[in-house]
Amino acid sequence: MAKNFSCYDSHNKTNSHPKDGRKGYHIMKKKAVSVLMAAAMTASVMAMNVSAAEYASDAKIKVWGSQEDQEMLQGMIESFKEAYPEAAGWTIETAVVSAADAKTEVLKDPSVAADVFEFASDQLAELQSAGVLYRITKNKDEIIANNLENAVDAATIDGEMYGYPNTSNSFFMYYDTSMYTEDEVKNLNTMLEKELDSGVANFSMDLDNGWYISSFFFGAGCTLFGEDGADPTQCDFNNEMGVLVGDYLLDLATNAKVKNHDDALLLAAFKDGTLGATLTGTWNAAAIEEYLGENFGVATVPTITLEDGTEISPSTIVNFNLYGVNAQTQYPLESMLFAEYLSSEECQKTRFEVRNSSPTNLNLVNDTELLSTSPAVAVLSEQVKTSTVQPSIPQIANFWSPMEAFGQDCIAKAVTKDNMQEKLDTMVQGILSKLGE
Amino acid sequence: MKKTSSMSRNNKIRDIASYITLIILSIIWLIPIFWVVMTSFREESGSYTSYFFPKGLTLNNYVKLLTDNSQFYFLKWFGNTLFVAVFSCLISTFFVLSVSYVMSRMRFKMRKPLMNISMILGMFPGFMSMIAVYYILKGLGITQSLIALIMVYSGGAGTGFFIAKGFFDTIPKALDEAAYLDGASRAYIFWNITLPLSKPIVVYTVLTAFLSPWMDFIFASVIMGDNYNNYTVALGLFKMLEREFINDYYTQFAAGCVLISIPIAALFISLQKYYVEGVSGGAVKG
Repeated sequence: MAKNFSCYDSHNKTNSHPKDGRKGYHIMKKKAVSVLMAAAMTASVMAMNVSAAEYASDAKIKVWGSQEDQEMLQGMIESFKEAYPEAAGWTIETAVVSAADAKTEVLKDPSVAADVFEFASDQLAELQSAGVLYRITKNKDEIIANNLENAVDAATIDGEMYGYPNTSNSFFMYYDTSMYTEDEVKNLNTMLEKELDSGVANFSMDLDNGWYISSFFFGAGCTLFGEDGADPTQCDFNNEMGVLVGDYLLDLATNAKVKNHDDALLLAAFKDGTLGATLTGTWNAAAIEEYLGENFGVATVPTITLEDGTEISPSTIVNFNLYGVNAQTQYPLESMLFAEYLSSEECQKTRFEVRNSSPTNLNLVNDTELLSTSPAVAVLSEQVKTSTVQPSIPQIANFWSPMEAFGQDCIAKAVTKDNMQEKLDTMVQGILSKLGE
Repeated sequence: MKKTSSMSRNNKIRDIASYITLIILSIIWLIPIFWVVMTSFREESGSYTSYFFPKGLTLNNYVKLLTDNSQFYFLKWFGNTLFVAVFSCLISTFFVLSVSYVMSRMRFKMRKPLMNISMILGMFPGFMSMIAVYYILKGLGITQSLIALIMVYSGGAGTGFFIAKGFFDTIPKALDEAAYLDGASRAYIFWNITLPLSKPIVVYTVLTAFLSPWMDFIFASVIMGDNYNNYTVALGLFKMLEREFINDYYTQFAAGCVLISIPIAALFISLQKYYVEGVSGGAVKG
């Protein structure tokens, strides 16, 4: 905790201008309060560990999940009680809060939030700095060994783990197998060279959405917020490789064979048969499979060949859904046991079967036979192995708008290859601008 | 003779031009509404189609919305909202009219300061106090309940008295004084003289108070938290637009939007005659 504080302190000093001295003071004050809170929390954690030697027989645990998950969660609770006889007398109730909304709901009032809740990994840093997450100590090595490395990274801050990895979420390529062969979808340049029927776009993606276009930058070796995604002063999307990627994006945006599609548009295009391939995630799998029928094809995001001839493999942004334990829970040990069970291989398998979620458990990820029942999840599992974890520090809030602006400038041709460096510098400046300014 | 005919021709041209402009404007204005209604009857799912008119029409979206409770409890949420809307409408109408009457007719020391305070308070956005309101409700132990929503929607209504007070000010004081001489009490005057003369403003107050629970998202989401059963339609419909649902539920979402407009429209139509009557009556008097 002390380390955390001092690092923030120095950061404030180096960056504060005379005019925003007051603001710096406020941030300091706020930070000091949260550090105190975190310290108090740690103290209580230690006290708990000593006093609670074994599980209570009448623990009451509330767990949050999305509405779609409710039925499945009930089943998991039952099998949990069967697997752990000591939990037979526990009352486990569920309520509806999806992983995406968890941060808002927990931070609003941690004392009434669920004891065990699912959250997206991009909320980790804020939840952790607010002191609402329990540090995971029990069976930590086992959890690390059982799950994808970047999923574990996504749940870890400064070497401490704060969430149980559960599912992964990223994007990959869907394509029409009547238009492309399996070999062709390996490289985007090859795909774009192909002449398809008139009115049919070769490729589409959300060109003004940082979630998608950042994959090219990451693939070229650029980093966001440093190597570990925790340094709000680092972003090198404007380095030499970044400029090449920018040129590539500009070529995509100005290519008549490429369309800028968001979810709604790409689904409509597949339905009308006017699209060859696109980038999106598993949430659209069922709809696309329905529209493409026999021609449904999935593949990892294709490699791209930059102007100077280097071929790079894009690294998509990935989020993981993690199970967290509320630091204010009355039943920490019981909640941890339950959270661990919910993220176990068995439950991840159920999730895969019922909800088509992509697992993080290594046994499941490498179980090609199991995953082959859902081609989309199989490809996603492959894709996330090379993915970049979405940083969860608050600075990420400044990431999306500059990326979107850059994408839109490419589409509007306000960017040219001559002013690419300048535009990327502006973009990076926007991403690194201090929060609240 | 010649002059008048050219004038009437001029008038005609002007009429035609203004009608055409109005028709074009109303088409522009109505297209989104028409589109939502069309979408609610659309047979094909998905949020976006590359054509305007649906390829097939169906009532299924409505049927599913009302009967399929696996994901979204639309009927329950609709009932919740209606319940909250009716009660908060009754309470806040009463508050607004009472405060307006007092501010318009009575003279007391704190009158001016109170009016200023509520004016200044009204300048702050309501959700600034959201977290404070949440903790107060929590202290009372009624978070996540519909009662809490009713209290939030109607509690501060009294500070929105300015329009109604302005209206009451236009009713001559001589009327009140005549009634006093006949032995009427203030309450009697309020109920039997002022209110019947102020139908348009009563209707206006009722309508705005009734609308807010259907529109509000922020307070409802803070107060309801994880209590899925007590959601209001605004919260529930928004859930349908989440990434995982939007493709399957978009047409049902549109159906929900159409259904929501029914109670609001019904209330408006049933009150409309007072509204029009009152406005024209006021105009003649003024």
